[in-house]
Amino acid sequence: MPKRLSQTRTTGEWDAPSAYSKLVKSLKRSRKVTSVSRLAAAPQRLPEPANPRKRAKKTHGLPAEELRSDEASSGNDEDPGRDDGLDPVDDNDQSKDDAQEEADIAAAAAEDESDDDEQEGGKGASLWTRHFGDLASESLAFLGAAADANEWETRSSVDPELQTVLRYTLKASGHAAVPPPSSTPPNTLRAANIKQRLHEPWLKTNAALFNRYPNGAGNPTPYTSLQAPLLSHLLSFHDVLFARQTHQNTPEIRNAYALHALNHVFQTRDRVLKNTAKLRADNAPPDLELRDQGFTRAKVLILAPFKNAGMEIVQTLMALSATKQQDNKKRFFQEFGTDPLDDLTPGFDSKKPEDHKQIFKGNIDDCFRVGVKFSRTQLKLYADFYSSDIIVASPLGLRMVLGAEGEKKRDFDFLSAIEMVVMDSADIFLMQNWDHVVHIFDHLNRIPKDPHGCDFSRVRSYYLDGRARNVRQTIAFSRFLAPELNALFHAHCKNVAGKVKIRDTTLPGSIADVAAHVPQIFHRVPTATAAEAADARFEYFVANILPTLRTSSAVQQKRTLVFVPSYFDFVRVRNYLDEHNYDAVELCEYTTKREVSRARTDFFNGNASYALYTERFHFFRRYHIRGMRHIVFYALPEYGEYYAEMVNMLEEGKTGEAVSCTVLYTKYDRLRLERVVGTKRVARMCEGEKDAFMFT
Amino acid sequence: MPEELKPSDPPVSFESLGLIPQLIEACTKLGFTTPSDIQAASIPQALEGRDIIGLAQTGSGKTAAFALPILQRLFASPQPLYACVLAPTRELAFQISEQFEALGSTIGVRCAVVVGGMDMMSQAIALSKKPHVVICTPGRLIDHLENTKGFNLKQLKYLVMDEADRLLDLDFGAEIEKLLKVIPRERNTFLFSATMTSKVEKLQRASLVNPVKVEVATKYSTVATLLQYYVFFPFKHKECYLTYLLNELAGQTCIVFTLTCASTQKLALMLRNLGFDAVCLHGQMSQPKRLGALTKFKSGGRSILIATDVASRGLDIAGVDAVINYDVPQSSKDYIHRVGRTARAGRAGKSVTLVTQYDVEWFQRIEHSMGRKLDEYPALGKDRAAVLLLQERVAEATRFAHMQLKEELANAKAGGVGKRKRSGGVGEDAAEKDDEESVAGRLVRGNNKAPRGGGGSRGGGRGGRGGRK
Repeated sequence: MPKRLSQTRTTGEWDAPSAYSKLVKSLKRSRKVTSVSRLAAAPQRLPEPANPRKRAKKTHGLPAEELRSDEASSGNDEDPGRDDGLDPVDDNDQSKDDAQEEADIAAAAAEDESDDDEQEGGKGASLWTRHFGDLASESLAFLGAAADANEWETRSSVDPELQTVLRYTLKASGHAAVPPPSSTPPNTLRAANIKQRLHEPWLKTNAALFNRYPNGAGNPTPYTSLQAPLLSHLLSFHDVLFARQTHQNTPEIRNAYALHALNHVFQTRDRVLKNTAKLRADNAPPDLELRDQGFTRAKVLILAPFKNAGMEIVQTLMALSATKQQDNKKRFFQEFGTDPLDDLTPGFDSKKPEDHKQIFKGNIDDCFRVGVKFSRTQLKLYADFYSSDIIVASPLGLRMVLGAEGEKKRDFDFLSAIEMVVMDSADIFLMQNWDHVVHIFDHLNRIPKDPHGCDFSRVRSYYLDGRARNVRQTIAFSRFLAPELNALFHAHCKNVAGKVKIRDTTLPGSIADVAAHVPQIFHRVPTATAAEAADARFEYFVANILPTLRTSSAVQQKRTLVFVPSYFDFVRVRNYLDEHNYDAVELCEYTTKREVSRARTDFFNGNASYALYTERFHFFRRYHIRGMRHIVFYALPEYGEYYAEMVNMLEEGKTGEAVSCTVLYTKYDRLRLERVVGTKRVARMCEGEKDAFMFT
Repeated sequence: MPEELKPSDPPVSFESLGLIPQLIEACTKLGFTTPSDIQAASIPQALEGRDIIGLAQTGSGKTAAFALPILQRLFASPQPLYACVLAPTRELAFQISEQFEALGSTIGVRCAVVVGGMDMMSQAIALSKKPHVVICTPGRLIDHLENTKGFNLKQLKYLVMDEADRLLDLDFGAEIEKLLKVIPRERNTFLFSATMTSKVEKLQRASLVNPVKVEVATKYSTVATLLQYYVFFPFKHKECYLTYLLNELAGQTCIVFTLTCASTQKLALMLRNLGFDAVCLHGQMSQPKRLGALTKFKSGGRSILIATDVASRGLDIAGVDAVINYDVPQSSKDYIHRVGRTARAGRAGKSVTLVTQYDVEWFQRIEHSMGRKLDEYPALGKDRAAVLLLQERVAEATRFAHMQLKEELANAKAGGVGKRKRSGGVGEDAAEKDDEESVAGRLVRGNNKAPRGGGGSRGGGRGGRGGRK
C-alpha cells in the first residue's frame, strides 16, 4: 500500500481558522451572496468540521472524477476554505507514478550529461554541488555552529538596481572562502549552471517581461535588469530578504525564483536518478556510497498569501518546466481560479487603489496547499507531500496540516528536507497571521519522527547530523521591512552561505502624498525598552492625547478617528473608551459587515464622536471613511501609503471647522516612520532632542 | 569438533599478546594492567583470525577479550559496519558499547547501540552514520534489517554473541537464523559465555568455521572469591527473611533476584515502605526507566536493586557486595549468572539463596550441577526468633505494598488508558517512582494513619527502620 499520510491526515479537527481567513471568506461571500440575513449569520457560524474530507475518506475507492465533483459541490455551498483538495491518491495513480519513475531512472542512466560534476566538491564543481553536496557536511559542523551563534560580518553596498544591499557573511568562513558576489550572474544560462531543459522555456516565458519593461529590451543577458542582480544572489544560495517588492515587479521576481527553484529541483532529481542507476548497475562496487538526498523528497516550499498568488506561481512553474503533461490541472484551476458565475471583477470598486485590486483579484482564499511533483516529462499537482518536489501553500493552509503541540494528528515530517523556502508577499502574511509563519519555520528541517520509506544509505550526512537548516536557503519578498521579518531573518536563517538584505536606500515618505491642508503633529512617546513600548504608548495616549480630544470645544471632540494598527492595542483602547463612556464605534477586522455600515453611517452623521479603526481592516476593505475631521494615529501603519490615504480622507466640513492629525510613535517604530516621513527625516525624529514635530 | 585449548602459562602483558600500542594505552587508562586468563588465551587466537568459543567465569573480562582483537583488526583495515555484537538484554548492550568506546577511544571507534524500547528513527540515523561496531539485541536488529531502507550488514567482518548460550535459546532462535542468512559467510564469529550448553555445539556447525574453544573454567564454575550460602526456612516467612538479611547487609550494595516482574514491584514497594532504598528493574518497564533505574543503582544512589533475570547476565556493576536469590533460579545456568554479578574481577562477594520447602528440589539440582554443597548462611545463627520479630511490620508493609499496586492498577484503568502501551506495565508506576519525596510521602502517610505509639502496628516505615538497629 502506498503511504498516504499527508493525504488522509488532514485537518478536520482544526477548529480555529484565523480570524483573517474568516474575514477573507466573509469578504468572498459578500461578493457571492447577496442575501443580507445570510451575511450577518456567516461570521458567527463555527467552522464546519471538514465534511468533504470525511466523505472523501469514505469514498476513497471511487474514481477520482466522482470524488472531485463531490468535493466541488460541497465546497461551493458551505466552506470554500476547507476543500483545499488533499484527497487520497488512488492506487492506480501510485503504480503509474512508479512506472514513471522507473522510466526516468532508465533515461537518466542512458543520458550522457556533460554538466555532470559527479565528483562532488571537486574544484570545478558547481556552486550547487559545493553548497548542497554531501561533502559540505564536514565543514558544516563548524560553520553551522557559527551561523547558529549568529557570528555574522556585515557589509553594506549600493547596487544600481537592488539599491542598498546588506551582505552578511560568516566571520568563520573567511573572505577567501566566500567569493565576492558579482552583481550580475553569468551572461548565459549555461554559465549560470541552469539546467539545459530550462533554457528555452525561460527565454520564452521571460520574454513577455522584456516587452513590458522597456529597460529590459536592449539587455544583453536573458534577464531583466532587476532579475540579473537578484539571480546572482539566488544562484549563490544566499538567504535573501528583498524588501522592495511592488505589484509591478512581482512577475519578474516570480519568474526569477521559480527558475531558481526549478533548477534546484531538477538538479537534485537528476543527481538522484543518475545515482540510482549507478547503484543498480551490475558493475557497481558493493561499498559504493552515494549520498544525494534528504529524509523526504520535498525540497522547495513556496509560501503565498492567497490562492490567486498561488495560482500564478503554479502557472509560472508550469510554463518554466515545459512539461508535456500536467496531472490534475483541471481540478487545480477549478479550485484556484474564480468561479465564472460569481466572478464580479467588473464590480470591483474602481476607486480602490491599484495595489488593493492586485492583491484581491481572483480567488482570495487564504487556506490552501498543493504538492507539485516533477518527473521528466510530467508535472503532477496535488501530489502527496512525501512524493512532491515543491509545496506551494499559504501559511494558514500549511499550519493546519502541521498542527500544534499536543494535538493528536500532526504531520510535519515532510518539511524535514526543505532546502529552499520562498516567501512571496511576506508583508501580507503580517496582515494575516504572522504566528503561522513562525510556526512553519519552527518545523522546518527537523529530523522526522518516522522514516517514511527513506533510504538511509542515500541521506546526506548533514541531514543525519541535523544540520540541514544550515544549508537551507530562505528567500523572502516583501513590500517593506518589518521588525517581524527582521527577527525571522535573524533567528531562522542560518544558511552558511550567508545572507543579504535588500532595501531601498532612500524612501521619499508617503507624507509627500498628503494633499489635505492639515497640520500633522508627530509625538515621540518616550520609552526605555521595546518591551515597555506598548504600555508607554497607551499611557501617553490616555494622559496626553485623549484629554485634548475631550476637553476642548464641543465641536472639536467630535468626528475623531483613532487609527490603531494592532488588534491588541485596539482592544485595549476600546476597553478604555468603553469604561469611560466615550461614544465610539469600532471598525476592525472582526466587525461584521452590517455593523461596519452602521458604524460608518453613525460616524458620518455625527452620532458617534469617535471611531476606532485598525490597519488590517483598512488592508482588507480600503473603505473611504467620510465625515472625519480629526485623525489620531495611535501608531503608524505598516503600509506607509495608508498614512496618506487616511489623512486625505479628512474633510473640513461646510463651516470650515479645523481639521487635525496627531501621530504617536516611539523610537522603535523607525521602519514605519521612515516609510511615512522619508529616510531623510527619520534619524532626527527618532534620536533628536525634540520629541514633537509638525508638518503642514 | 573444535580443538580444545587450555590456558598455558599466561603471558605477562598485553604487549606479548600482540596488541598494538594504541590499545595497550587504552587498557592502561582503564586500569587493565595484566590480561586475565580468558584474554590471554583468546586474544592471540582471535588475532590470527580464528573463530572462537570462549568460556570463562563471570566477571573475568570476557568483553575485553573479544573487543580488543576486533578493534585491532579494525584499526588495520577501517571499514564501517565492521563488527556486530549481539547481547540478550538491552542493558548489557549498553554496557558492551561503553566498553568498546572506552577501549577504542584511542583509535576513534564509533559504536551504535540498537536495542528495543528506544526510538527507531534515531537508531536508523545512527546506523546510517556508518558506525564501526553495532551492539544490539537480536529483535531490534532484525527489525532494522527488515524495515530500515539502506541498512545492511553485507560488509560485516565480525559477529559476536555475548552470553551466547542465552542468545541461542529458543527465544531468540528465529532472529538468529534470520540474521545468519543476511550476513556474509566469510566472517569471524565469536561466542562467549560463562555457561555453554550443547545447543551451542549444534549452532557452531552452522555459523562457525574451524573454531577454537577457549575454556578457562569448567562448565559450572564460579570464582573462588565468591562465598555462596543458602538459608532454609518455611515459605510463609519469605519476606521476613529477606528483610532480615537486607537489614544485616545494611550499608552494602546488593541485588535481589526474583522470578517475576510483579514480585519485583511488590518487593520494591514493600522494602521502600520499610525504609530501604530499593529500586526495581524488570522487562515490563519502559526502556528509559530501565536505564534510569540501573544508573541510579550503579551510581550508588540506591543500594538495593530488585530485578528479574533481565539483570542476571553480563551486567558489570562495580562493588556489588551481595546477591540474594529471593526465588531459587530455574536453572543452574541462571544461578551461575546471578551470583556472577558479585565478586567480579578478583573482588570478594557473597551470595545467599533463599530456599523454602518448595524449592528444595531445584536447589539440589543446582548444587548437583555445580558439583558442590553450599553452606548455610552463618550470620543467621541459631537465633531464628530474632527474624520473626520483624514479622508484624513486614506483613504490614507487604499489605500496604499490595494496596499501592492495586491503586496504581485502578488509576491506570480509570485515566491512563492509552497512556501506557504495555498492558503489563500498569502496576509499575508506584514501584518506579522512587524519588525521595515519594518515599517520604509514603512514610508520612503510614504514620498519620497509625495512632502515635500504637506499637508500630501501622507505621510500617518507621517501624522498619527501628527494626534495623
